[in-house]
Amino acid sequence: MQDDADTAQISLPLFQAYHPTTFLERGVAVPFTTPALAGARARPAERAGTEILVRNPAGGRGVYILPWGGICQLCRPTVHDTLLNQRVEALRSVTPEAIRRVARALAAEGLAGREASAAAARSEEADRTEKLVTNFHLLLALIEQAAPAELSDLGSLEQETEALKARAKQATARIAPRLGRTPEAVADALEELAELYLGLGAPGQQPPPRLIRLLAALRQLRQDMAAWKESQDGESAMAAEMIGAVADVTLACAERTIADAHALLADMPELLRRFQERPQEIATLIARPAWLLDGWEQICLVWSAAGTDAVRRAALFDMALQVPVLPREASEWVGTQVDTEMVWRFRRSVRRNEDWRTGATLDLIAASEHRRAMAI
Amino acid sequence: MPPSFAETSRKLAAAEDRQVAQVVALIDGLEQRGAADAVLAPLRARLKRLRPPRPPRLGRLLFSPLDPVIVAPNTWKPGDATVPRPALGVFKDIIVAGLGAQAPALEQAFARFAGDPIEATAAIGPNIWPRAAACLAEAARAAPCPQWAALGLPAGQFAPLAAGAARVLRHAPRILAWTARDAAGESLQAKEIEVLFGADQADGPLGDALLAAVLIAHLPRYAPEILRSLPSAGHETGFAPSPAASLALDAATAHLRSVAERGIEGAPLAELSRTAEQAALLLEAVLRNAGPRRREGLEQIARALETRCRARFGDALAADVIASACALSEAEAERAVPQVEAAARDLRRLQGAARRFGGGADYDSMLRRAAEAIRDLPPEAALTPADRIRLAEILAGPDVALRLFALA
Repeated sequence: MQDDADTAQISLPLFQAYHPTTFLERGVAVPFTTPALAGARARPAERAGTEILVRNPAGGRGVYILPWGGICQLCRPTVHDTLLNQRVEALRSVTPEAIRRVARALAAEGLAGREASAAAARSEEADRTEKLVTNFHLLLALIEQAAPAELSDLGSLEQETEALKARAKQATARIAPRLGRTPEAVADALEELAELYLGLGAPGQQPPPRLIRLLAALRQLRQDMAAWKESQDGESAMAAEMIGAVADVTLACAERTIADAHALLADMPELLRRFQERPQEIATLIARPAWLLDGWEQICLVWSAAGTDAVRRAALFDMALQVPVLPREASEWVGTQVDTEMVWRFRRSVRRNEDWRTGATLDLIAASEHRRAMAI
Repeated sequence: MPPSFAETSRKLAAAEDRQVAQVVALIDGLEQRGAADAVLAPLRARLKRLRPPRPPRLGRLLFSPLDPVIVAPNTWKPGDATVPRPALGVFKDIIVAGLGAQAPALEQAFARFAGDPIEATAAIGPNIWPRAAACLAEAARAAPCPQWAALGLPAGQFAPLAAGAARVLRHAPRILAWTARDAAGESLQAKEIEVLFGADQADGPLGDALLAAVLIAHLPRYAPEILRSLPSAGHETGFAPSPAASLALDAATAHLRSVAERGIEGAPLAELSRTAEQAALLLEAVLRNAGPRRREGLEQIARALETRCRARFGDALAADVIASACALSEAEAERAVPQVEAAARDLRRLQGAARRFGGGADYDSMLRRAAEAIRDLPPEAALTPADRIRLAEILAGPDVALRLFALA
């Protein structure tokens, strides 16, 4: 039988200090549905496979760092989570986008419920459209910068996909020699870049891509946390203050890295050149916002799903425990000193609301599956 | 009850659900319900299950905080910490008269929430209850009440019952807020509860007992704190409980008996786990404060609760999960599978609460068999493999599901 208690009464490993230097060391948030694994992260293990980082359920410093076998001693993972972990283990590199894709594929199979399955199918379709739109924007930027006279021949996004592709191909064929590349090489590079820019898109791209929407949600969360802190007192106000403060720093870093990624598009010939010479460097730069915002979507969803003040108060404790720790690498990324310790300073004083957690586990799993559907 | 109503009531007990709904609509439409209300008394458990659409009524809003202590007149005794249902009609007249011109406006405001009495109660109740309490308290001080005599209840019981009901209504907004906090998992502090019993000694033991009984029914996990807050409470210390505590325990025991007799079979599945959990908490709290005689009665109630919960669980598992899953068509699966999953979750919650009355091994075995039955549904059933895995997991847990479907 499934225990309603979050943790089994067995001996567990000691908590480990958690001051990640890099984002990879921080791990990537995995959308597990088991309540005890909310906010858990995966990262490559030192030797092989992955290890899971689980927050301290008492709300204090430190995390459990365990292989999956250890997780099964800590709680009883859902079938969805067991299978999701198997797929995460099989990944060649653990990144926010890779985790998102394997989680979405599993959800599409129905293991997080029919609602999440339908959402996964919609999300795949949305990604395909967004990639096409982004590809078009990149091509537009390239033509605008390298051969503005060609712009009038390109048409608009409203054309049929096949007609658009044909015109894009013609434009690329005319522009490629000026870049010293074959048309195929330019088209392939643009497609690869569109894949990397998935979630960010080009500046001002409509409809806003996923990470841009998440940025807006995080701004709203910061505003809500400030309002809560002003109108309430006690521990929930302290939790809101901490969440708001970390959201604030995260927003500043994310906005900066998004601006950096978008700035590359201001010189497309140079971007193509650099991408040809050092593709990994460009990919890493473009992926920074996703790493920075990783884990915040779940927090925003927990907050937006809380309908009454009593539920919000309880949700805040859970959100506080999920707030991602900022690794020291964040300072290097944005070129200024980031206070990476603020989570711990506040978290020490955040007490977990045990009553909320020990409620019906099945309801928490169902709520988590609903958030999966919202997030996908 | 007049003989003609008694006959109607008997016939209704055997009537179809549709006919019961028609009679309820007819009685709800009466300007003065009076004795006709008694026709519905034996049907209250069935009405809970049927939930026929009922027009919002000011009386229902006014006295909803008193629900746990409202009893049929034939089960009420003078001095009990309960309120005989006919008294509510007189109380309502007093309140409406006291509110004067405000009453019709309130009735209209309440009617705007047609179909959602819970929302209406949350929106309007906290404003109206304290004013209603003031009207009743004033009437209690000015007793006797001329209309009371027509009810056939002892004349001397008007003042204490009106004062006690006023006491509950005065604190009703707080009780509503606490219940919401409790449902959200937020803890209450003992000192918050103590405040309710510190300043109102004028209402006497019946006022204390009514308030305690209502609080215990809404917040059974805090029963020890509630009983300890009563003036001169001697329970759990080896001394005899105070009169108020004793009355509150009587009311809580009566409430438990009513749940055991009528609350399990009639309640909707989605609410059953909460009913069972509250009953289990209340039973444990009352048992801790019970002497040998009360304990014997409580043990009987516990056995009745165990039997009825287990029977309802078995029936619902067979009908609402296995039979429903089996009967699904491809066309309705998208909508219906989440409903079957919701029923399975309701049942898991129910067994989690009900096994506190006993029968844990039976529940485990029924759940395990149900998970196997889901796995073994014919391939032409509309459930996908993922649907089957999920249902088995909800019923019997992830380990069983992984084994049953050889996923481990």
